[in-house]
Amino acid sequence: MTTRAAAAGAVVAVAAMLAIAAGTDPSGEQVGANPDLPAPQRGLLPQMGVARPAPWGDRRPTVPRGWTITAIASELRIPRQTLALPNGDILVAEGKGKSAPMLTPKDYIAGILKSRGATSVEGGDRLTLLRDADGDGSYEGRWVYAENLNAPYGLALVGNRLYVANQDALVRFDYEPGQTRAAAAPVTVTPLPSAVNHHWTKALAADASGRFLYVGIGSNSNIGERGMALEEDRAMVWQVDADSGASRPYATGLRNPTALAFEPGSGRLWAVVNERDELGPDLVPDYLTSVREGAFYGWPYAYWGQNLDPRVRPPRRAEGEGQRATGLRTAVAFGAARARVRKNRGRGPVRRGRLRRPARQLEPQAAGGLQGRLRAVPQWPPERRAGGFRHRIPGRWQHDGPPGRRDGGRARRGHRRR
Amino acid sequence: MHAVLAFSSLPLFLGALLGDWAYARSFQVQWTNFASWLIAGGLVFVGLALLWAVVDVLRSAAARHRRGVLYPLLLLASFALGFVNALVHAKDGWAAMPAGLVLSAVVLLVAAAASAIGLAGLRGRAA
Repeated sequence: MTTRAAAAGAVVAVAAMLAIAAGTDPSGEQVGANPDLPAPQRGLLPQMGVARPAPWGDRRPTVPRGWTITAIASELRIPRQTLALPNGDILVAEGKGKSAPMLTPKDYIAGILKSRGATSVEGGDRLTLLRDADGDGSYEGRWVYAENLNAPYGLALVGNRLYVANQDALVRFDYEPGQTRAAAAPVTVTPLPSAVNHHWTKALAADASGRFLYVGIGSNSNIGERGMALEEDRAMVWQVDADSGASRPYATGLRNPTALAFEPGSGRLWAVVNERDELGPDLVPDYLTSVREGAFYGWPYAYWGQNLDPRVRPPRRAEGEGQRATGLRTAVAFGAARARVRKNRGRGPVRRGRLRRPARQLEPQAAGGLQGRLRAVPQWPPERRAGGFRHRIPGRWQHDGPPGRRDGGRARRGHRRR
Repeated sequence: MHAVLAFSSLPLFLGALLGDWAYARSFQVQWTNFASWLIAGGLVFVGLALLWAVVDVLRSAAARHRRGVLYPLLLLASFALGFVNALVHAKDGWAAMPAGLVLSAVVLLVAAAASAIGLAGLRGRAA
């Protein structure tokens, strides 16, 4: 009886939410380097719509004039990221992370609602290799390159090392050109934070030298509502030493960095970041940003630079002069909650011409007022401050010097437990 | 049995109020998680008591000893306010405050009043 009553209550709530959810799509106007951000709004029910899965059928995404688009593979098991290999082969990472355990009645209802927008396909936990041997545009060759992985997402090839970011570990395969199947089981480079793993996708990029790998680690909650203890090592980009597996936070306060890439030429690291929910349909825009070493980008305390999020208590304490609770702003907005599934109508920053604009041109406007603020760049409290590898650094590092602040490690260790 | 249902919601709503108070004092989110579940539990019992009371009113409508409709109305009020409180508690983090704390207190008071009046009615009938 109790269960039935609870179920009935849930149905009522679901119906109410669906009724509210209708017609609250994001306006899509929050795009560009200086988006006009509306005031936060939140009624009794969150304004959200759940997109229903639908087959492509005869429809295709719209592409720029002169381009055509064709499916090169289907029946994949939740493909999330691809990597073009030097010989033209394409690797596809397939998988899906475990979902975070239910913590509140809200999670129960939200789980039902969200499942309506999710696929029923089971994650493949594998890498599929696609090959167009004759160059006719049809990928006739298809092999399972590796399987029994754990929700693989980020992919990077450095020389003959193929790095795969599983949801719980960064692993490495020895890759030979032309290979269709990995010769051996992967070697673990370093474990990655995986407790709860609400945002499980681990984005990956390697710098030009291949010496460092960068891993995007999403937060464990929307705005820290599961407790900040769970956010230790989350919502940040890690820098990982490819040889030793030593890691350190490279930039922090990035809620869910789902894509990382190096800009050829400048060597600048860029990230696409999913921002927070439940502040209204047009807040907060997801964004593309360059990732600066040691910078704090605001999550969960602030969004889009200086806007404090009142839902986070206690607020961030400024621990020293010049420190602020708010984040660094150097970003281009994509509109609210759309980075992953965004329809590009050619007016946003993903438009080809604009994306290719050199970062230098983008920066002054995007960084608006940053120059003065940079000296006072907000940092995590010392124990969370970027800098300093967490693992023992091999001796030679003392000579080479890690690329960041050299005293960071001491600061971190010294304040680890307060 | 009816009294048990009506009174069972009280400790749950009281627990929710205490959980809210603890969260407001400590910012430890686990307290607000407790409060959310206690409110949901309280709603189940208030809902069942409400159902019972409505059936009672309908059954006794024809009978001579008409009981006041105040009791089911108070139950209805505590259910409605409790439901709103549940939605408020579904907001993330501090967004549920201070409205959640105030609502928890109001819901407890209304539910207590309903139970007290309901108990008086039951005893009156038994006598």
